[in-house]
Amino acid sequence: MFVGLTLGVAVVFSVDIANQSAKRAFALSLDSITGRTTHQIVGGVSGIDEGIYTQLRTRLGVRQSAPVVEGTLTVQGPDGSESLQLLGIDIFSEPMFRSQLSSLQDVGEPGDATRESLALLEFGAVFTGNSTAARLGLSIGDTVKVKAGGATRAVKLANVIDTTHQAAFDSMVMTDIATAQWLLDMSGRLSRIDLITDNPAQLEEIKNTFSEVSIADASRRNNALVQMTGAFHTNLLAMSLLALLVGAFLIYNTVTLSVLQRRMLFGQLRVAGVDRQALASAIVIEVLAFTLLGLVAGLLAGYALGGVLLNLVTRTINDLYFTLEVRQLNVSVFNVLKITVMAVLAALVAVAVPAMEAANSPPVTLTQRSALESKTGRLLPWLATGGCALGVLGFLMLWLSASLLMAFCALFMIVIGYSLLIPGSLYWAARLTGKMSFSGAGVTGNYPMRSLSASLSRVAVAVTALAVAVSATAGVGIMIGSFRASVADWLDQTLQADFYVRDSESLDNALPQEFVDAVDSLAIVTGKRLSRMFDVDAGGTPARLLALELTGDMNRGLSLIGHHTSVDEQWTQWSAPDSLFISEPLAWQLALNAGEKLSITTENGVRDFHIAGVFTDYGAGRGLIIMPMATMHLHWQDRGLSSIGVSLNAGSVDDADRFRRLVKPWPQLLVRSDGDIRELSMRIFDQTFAITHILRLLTAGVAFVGILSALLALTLERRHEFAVLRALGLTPNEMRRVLLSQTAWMGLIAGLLALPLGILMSGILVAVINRRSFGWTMQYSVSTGVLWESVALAFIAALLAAIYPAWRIGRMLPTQALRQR
Amino acid sequence: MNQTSLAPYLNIHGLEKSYPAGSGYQTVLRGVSLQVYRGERLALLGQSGSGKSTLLNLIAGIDTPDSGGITVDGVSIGLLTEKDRTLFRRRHIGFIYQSFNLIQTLTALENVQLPLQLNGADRRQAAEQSARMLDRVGLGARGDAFADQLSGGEQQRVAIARAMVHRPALVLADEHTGNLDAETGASMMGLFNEIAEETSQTVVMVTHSSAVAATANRVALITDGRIAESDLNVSDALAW
Repeated sequence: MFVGLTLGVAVVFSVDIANQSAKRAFALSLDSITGRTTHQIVGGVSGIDEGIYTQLRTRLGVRQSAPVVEGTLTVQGPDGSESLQLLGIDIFSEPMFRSQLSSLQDVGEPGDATRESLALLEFGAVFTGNSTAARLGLSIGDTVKVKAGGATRAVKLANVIDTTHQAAFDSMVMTDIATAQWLLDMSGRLSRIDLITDNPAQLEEIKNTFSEVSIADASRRNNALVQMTGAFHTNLLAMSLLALLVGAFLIYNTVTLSVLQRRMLFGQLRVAGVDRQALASAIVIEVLAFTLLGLVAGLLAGYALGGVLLNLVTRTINDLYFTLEVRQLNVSVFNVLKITVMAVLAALVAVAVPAMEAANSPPVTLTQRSALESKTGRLLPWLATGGCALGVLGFLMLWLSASLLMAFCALFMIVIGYSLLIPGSLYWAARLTGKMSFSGAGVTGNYPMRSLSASLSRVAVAVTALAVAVSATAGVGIMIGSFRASVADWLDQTLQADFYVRDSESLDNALPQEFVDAVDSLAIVTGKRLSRMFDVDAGGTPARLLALELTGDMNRGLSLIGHHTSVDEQWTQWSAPDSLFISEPLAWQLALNAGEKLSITTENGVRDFHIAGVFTDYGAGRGLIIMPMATMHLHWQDRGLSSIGVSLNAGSVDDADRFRRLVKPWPQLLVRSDGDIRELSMRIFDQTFAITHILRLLTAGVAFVGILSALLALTLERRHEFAVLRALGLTPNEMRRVLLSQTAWMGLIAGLLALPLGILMSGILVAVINRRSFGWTMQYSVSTGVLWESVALAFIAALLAAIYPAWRIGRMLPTQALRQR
Repeated sequence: MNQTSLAPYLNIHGLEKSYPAGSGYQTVLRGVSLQVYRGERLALLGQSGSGKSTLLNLIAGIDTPDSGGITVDGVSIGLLTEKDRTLFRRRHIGFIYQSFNLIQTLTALENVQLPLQLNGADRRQAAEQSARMLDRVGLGARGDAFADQLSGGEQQRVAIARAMVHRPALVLADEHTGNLDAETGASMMGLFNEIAEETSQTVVMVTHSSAVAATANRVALITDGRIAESDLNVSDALAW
């Protein structure tokens, strides 16, 4: 009972705190970047002119404003290079926006913080978090080389920030605005200007004065960032809820078994004169005491496991979204309370029925196994009816509501509904197999199956837990398989060039014009894909704009969805002025379709664009907008290129070498073949789902323990029965075979029953949950391999769980068990 | 029956058995020797704790002696491996317990079928033979009932049917009427002896009951782990 409870609690708690810690670190990170900012003045691809800041303060008198230059830099540490976020600030206007400068390590007296922060004014001086400095082996005063904006420069670590309460600084470098402009090659430019204002008239005045910039609501920008990772966390939450469901099953199973196997004792106590209330209270108190013990052990084990999971979660966020360093688990009272309520509730529900039954049944029936099993048998039609009703309700919810939360509720109702059908299916399957087993009867005839169907009260919950766990494995496996196939197809379609070249730091950085000219003059290039990429504000949401120009034999490489007009017609519309394509996730987020208008803040002010089509995009970041390069040039001054894709003559090896040699003189440029990008993308994809694999294994582990505890309880309870069989002439090996055949059958049935639920679950995940989370439409494909794997998992888990009980049965002394009777 | 002219079917000599008890050992059997002849019905009388049930378990090969030997129909049980002992028991021995020891998860009919199935009987044949045996013990109509749905007398009849359905040469009965009232016990003994006589089974029965002992050919008396008397006739035994 203790082990079952501990494991159930540990799995749920670890997933919960890992998820929570990553979210908290993300929130801290956002808070540190935006602080008390209410609005942000943002510009186009190259940021905004710093003269705007001067005018803002002098001409318009907006005092509560702070300039910011931000970007990414790379530092070489003892464990390899590390990407850090660079935040360039003006220390005189900062205190009203962000409070991090108060966390300087050498601070002694009040007022020292401001004094220490003056060290940033020294050109080339930077601050970073104390843990980052320790990780990189740096001390205050050290000079370190950093790579940013295509160049390597030396900076001095002037001070460190205590990150105990400011976790976001774990991965951040702070410097004065002038140093940041120097490092990022942004001389005279700012990334944004932060504002604190609640005056609409003032905002209007700023808008009218500076038409080339736009004003974004800081909370909306933050929300967009939260939404980016929100979907990932939602999927993690789904897995943790599934673990919770299986964990609750395990706790239920453990508690039920511990009570059921002592029915005889309860009957004897009742005969001896213990009254109903006293008996029920004693059972409940005992179970609660064990639950609390298991809870404490489970919380400790869960904390240890949470550290492992947290690494996987942050790795996924780093791969998919942005640099996020979380080195500390964040456990709140709420986390502990949530798990405590779950465990106690599961234990109370589990103990309620057998305790009430033990207290209310006549003592004589407590000593009869058949009475309990008859009761269980009578419950089956009710369970099945309830299960069907829950399932229908779940499907109705999916159909009627478009909300993600409702989709999750519906999914769980369907899972619980289906699990209520499992005990009945198990009973009938055992009866059917029992009848069939006569014809091919081994020495024990139909005993194994009959004894199973007569022990439904003991094995049904364990088999249900195993089936649900395996269905989750199958469901998520099919979903990942479908997703992987969709991404692979999408990459094949998107990657039309043989090579892609971009700046190694950021797509915001333009390629050197000399390189662009060199590519133009290269005869082996048969087609080009020229692109410029930067952030824009689209319909009030941050999005990524990709301006595209295709030349020569370069294919379009986009998969357009929706069939209101032909693909050619959509491309024709796209080429017209002020037209664009938007990605499916953006269309989903803004509830827009082809044929409608999208407002984008350009350097000429806000403009409406015609949506010529919607394309498939499995990129994880912000929504993507693709417009012709010529259209972009009409609304933005920027003439740089973010990347060039080239097609070469029949892709010959010599030509590929020639092209690589062409890029060599520009070390800041990154050249990748389509194959490299495909491989890297698929590797990131697989890394992203590594945590899901771990969670699937954990869930299966929980179910394994469920089966093991059920078997151990059964063998303990059935010692006498097994002793009789031994006395009748069953050899130890035959006894072991009886138990193994029972368990193998349970595993097989659990595996088979898991398949319909797994397929159903994957369908809902693919068609509803992922669609509502990310806006992705995926192709749905059920791999028979995943189905076989799932059945094999259930079968093997059950067989492994049977090894120890079978070994114990074989060694049992029949006389001892018979004498105890 | 002229016992001296025949080799004993069951030959027990110098049997010793102790069990761990607390920090030491409790000796249950102290050099028990006994011979039982084919077709004979031997009643083993003795007080509680005198070692009667232990002796039956050793004869059945469910337990092993510390020293001494048991030969059944010329086969030395002690020389057999665990597996062979089990197979020997399966084929040649039927066992009836005071507490019936029916398998709770099987019906009466399925309980009776078990020994036949264990001995490889054909499915239909096993079912027919078991049904006939249940009929014989007066439970033809209760074959589908589970063990705990039967009364004590009914359970004991199923236990007798199960012990005898495969016609074992040796039947061991441990207080098999101990849980029944006098009238049911007497009727049970009548049935038991009738079936045993029909198939010339050798019977060793442990009992406290003089009425049960009275149905035996011979009575042995076991006291404090030793055979005090091995050849009492019924009236002598009753005098004890």
